[in-house]
Amino acid sequence: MPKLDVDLVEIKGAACCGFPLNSLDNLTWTYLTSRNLALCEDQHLDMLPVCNGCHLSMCEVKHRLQSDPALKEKINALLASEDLRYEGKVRVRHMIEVLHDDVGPEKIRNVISKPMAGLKFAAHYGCHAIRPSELGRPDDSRNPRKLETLIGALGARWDVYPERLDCCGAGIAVSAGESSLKIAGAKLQKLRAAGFDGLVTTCPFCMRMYDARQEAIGALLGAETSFPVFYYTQLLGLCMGTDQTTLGLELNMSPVDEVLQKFQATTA
Amino acid sequence: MVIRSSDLDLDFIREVSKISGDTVKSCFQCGTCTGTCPSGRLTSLRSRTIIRKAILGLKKEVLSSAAIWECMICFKCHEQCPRGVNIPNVMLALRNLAVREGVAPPEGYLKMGKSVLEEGAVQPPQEVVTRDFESFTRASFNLPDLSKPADLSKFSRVLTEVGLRKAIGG
Repeated sequence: MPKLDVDLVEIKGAACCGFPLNSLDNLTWTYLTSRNLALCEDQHLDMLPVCNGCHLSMCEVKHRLQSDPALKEKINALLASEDLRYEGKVRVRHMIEVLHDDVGPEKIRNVISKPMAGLKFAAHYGCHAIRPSELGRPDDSRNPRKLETLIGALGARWDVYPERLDCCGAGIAVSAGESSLKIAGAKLQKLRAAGFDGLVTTCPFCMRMYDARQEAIGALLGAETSFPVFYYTQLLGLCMGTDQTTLGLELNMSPVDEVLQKFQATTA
Repeated sequence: MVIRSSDLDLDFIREVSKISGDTVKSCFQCGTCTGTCPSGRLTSLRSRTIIRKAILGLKKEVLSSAAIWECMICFKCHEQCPRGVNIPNVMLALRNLAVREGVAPPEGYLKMGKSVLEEGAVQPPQEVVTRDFESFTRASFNLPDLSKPADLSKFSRVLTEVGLRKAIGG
């Protein structure tokens, strides 16, 4: 990211964004999310929540606090115990916005040294990157294009597919585990036949469903679900010449080697 | 099914909309939400039914149903709803009210709540395993420890005041 003029630092004192706890207690979620926003303001940082769910939490709570001054005061009274105060100034960005809107595909094209010719990827946005549209999400809810544009900037091919905007199923991993795996599996089963080499996402929760849970999905469905899954930033790093260990590629649980071998063959 | 007026809590929908926002009252039962629901194809969730019962005031029945926990909060229904009902937020509000009424949520939520209360995160940092079954920690990758609240006991006290400890039955 520094090569793209984006400096990443960790938020000191950060805790959970609260998203999963919104199911138990709305105020707990509002407080935890506000607390992270307030920490960013205190440390003079823009915020880049890596996960779609965290990003939606931040945007939704920002919106609520702006439209409900009484709630904002209540939250600020709670934040005061850690000498924090939320004003509403912090800028929240999504990974897709940073890469597509701030850095831009042109700069990515210029900065990469090894374009990815001959590979074709399917984009998975994940629900909260595109919905609910009324809160202003990073891309269009019905026909998003930014992630595909970013894949194209790497020299790789992309295409749309019927399951493109579908949920990864993570939202019911806790309450209905098997159904959640079946929902993720429905997408994985279609991609190879549709001629894709890999699935690309930016959201770690979606990544967990499609990549880390892939073996469990295959076992449950008794079907072929083995398919390479990547973070967009891993592909970007490969094209920039970053080594595979730094990119954590050995930690992907899906069979990414087949794509890596094709990539090496074309760039050798 | 026979619905007796004694089973109806007419204030229920007001309690729901206090958390979810007012949009729920606009529902005209078209069923688009159930039709678009990717979870409902596999689970017991029928969003239209839940919303109808909530508006009627069938509080006990709605709050004790497994279905309210089977919404993926994917917002597909909300995007399509011709009345602009924020159905996922209604489901979240119903879960909140169920917890307040003493209904036990799926175990995983309690675990996550307890972990946030004690550690600030839904789970402590995990060891990761490569495809070749080698395990690594953050330290073995020379990564710094994850951020966490500077004073965890103070953090936990505020969350208790907010209501998390009560929500997880602690």
